Amino acid sequence: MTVQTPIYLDNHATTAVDPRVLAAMLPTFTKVYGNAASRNHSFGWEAEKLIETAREQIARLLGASAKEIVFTSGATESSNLAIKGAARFYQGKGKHLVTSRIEHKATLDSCRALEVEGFEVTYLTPDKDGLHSAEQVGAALRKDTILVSLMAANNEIGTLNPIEEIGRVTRERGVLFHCDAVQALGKIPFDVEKANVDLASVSGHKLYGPKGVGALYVRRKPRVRLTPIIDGGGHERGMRSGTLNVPGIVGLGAACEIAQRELPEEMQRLTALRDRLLAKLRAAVPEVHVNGSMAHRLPGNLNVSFAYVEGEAMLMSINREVACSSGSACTSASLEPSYVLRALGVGDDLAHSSIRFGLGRFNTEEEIDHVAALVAASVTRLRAMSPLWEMVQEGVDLKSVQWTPH
Amino acid sequence: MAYSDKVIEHYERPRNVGSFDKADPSVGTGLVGAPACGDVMKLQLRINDAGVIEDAKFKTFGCGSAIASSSLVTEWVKGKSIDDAGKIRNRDIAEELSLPPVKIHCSVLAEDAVKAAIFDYRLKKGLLSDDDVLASVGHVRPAGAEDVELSPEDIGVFTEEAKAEKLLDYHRAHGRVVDADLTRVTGARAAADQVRARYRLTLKEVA
Ligand SMILES: Cc1ncc(COP(=O)(O)O)c(C=O)c1O
Repeated sequence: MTVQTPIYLDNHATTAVDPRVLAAMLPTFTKVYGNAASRNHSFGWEAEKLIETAREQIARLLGASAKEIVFTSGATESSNLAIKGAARFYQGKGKHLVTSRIEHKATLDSCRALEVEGFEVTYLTPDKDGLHSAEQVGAALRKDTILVSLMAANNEIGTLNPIEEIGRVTRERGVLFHCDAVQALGKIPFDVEKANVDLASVSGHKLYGPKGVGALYVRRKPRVRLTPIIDGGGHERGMRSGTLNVPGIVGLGAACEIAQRELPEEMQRLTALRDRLLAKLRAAVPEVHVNGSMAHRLPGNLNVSFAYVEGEAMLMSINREVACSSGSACTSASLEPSYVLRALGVGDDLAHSSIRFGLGRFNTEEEIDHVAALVAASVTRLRAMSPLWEMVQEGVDLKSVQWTPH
Repeated sequence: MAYSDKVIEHYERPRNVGSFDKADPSVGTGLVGAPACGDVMKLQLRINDAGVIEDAKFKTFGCGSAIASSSLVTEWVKGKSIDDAGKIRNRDIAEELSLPPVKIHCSVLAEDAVKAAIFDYRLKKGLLSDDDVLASVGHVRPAGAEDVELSPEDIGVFTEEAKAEKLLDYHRAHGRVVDADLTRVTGARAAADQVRARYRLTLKEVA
């Protein structure tokens, strides 16, 4: 059986635009190109109609109402707006926030920026499976806590937080709950009502929509208010000024509608493919360590460490045929491996050996089988030239060796 | 990140992967780096009595540039005297492989591996001066002290103990007179035992 290479298995980084999404977008470039804010002619009205349809499509997938959707340039902006906007608006009530050490940089760096402004942030450490519990969140809340920001699904290890339980706690304690839903939305059921989420970040390019567009869900009942971070013409009820990105928004809307329709089946299909990949790898090579909970995990995510081989070297041997990413950071000046894996307590050696496979809508069983064989062969080849593997085979305890860190 | 053609070539067809018997007196072994840093190189040299490197082998845990750097030095050292091999500079490796700045540490590691292998060979053969032996002992934290705050003076005491022991072992292994070494070890151990007692660390058995 022949498969076409390279095979794309980096769907947490970004996804291909679904051809159906592209088809929905195309008229907006050359036909419906009006400014949705133009009130005086049909070009503007047509564009506005498309925007409102998209708003409804997105709201439906979130379990929200269309009026609660604010369009942005992407989830980085959404999380900045949610966290900084809420903190600045509600700072009279308190100046304490709670988040996690394994959040996306958009969240972590927004929190860091607030610390400079005099806010205090508690960074929760996940358990060794990468999970936070509602009890842990509850215990971190203080009288002056105004916001909890925790993601639904982690972009590196795919772990799923118990957001419905966390939302119950934040609601009970009168604290706002921002949820980065980027990796979860359209992949697993995510409902802002069920989870009592007050703010949710969404990105177009992670669910087969275009890049450069996103949305922020902002609850209306009870009403959540934000201090805008971008000022201007007062678009999006004053929360986000700037001419609306009609093509992007139409694409995001179409992407949400497709994702909602296909979600139950796609979840099953991806879970099966992911489990197949892991089973084949384990059958072929020993010492394959899964990073993060297997039970609470995105269907398309597999993050594994192949002990005694370095992640980047692995990728180098397969990247002509497979695109995926590594938690090793040998290319960065710091030489520090993934902060997410470190927060889980994964040893630096295993963190350097980690590979993230992100399976998506367009991957097939043939592709997965091909990747499994290729990766297994690469691990075997690299272990044959690994001094660590050799030492372990000789019975040496690597922890007893006096290394010379550099 | 894009790799240079030479890195890719060495990575895909690495030269001289493998191992020699560590115990062979004509083999020097260098093991440098650390798993936690993401690279470890083991380089072995087979050296004849004229001090010429006849063969070299390596195993490397690390990225493609680390593998390529070690593969390249195994080619370069063959046929060289150990003195000339010891003069291989990481700059030359980095230049040959067109390593980008973030990968320079891979070439540094390869240079260190050559030096460590030569050192090991000279240690085995008794060719090192006492100063070389002493200089090879870095700062020492004793076993059992992983969680103890030690002052620089205390670490100095343990380091002196390790240095004295290393020199004694070295001279013994080569059948030399060791009276002065024994005196040094006894003094160093007494000092170290005092520190150990202060911290209730496991007492070392005096040989
Ligand atoms: C969990 C998570 N949050 C936020 C973002 C940022 O999204 P965007 O690329 O739309 O700014 C990403 C994607 O990189 C992500 O994976």
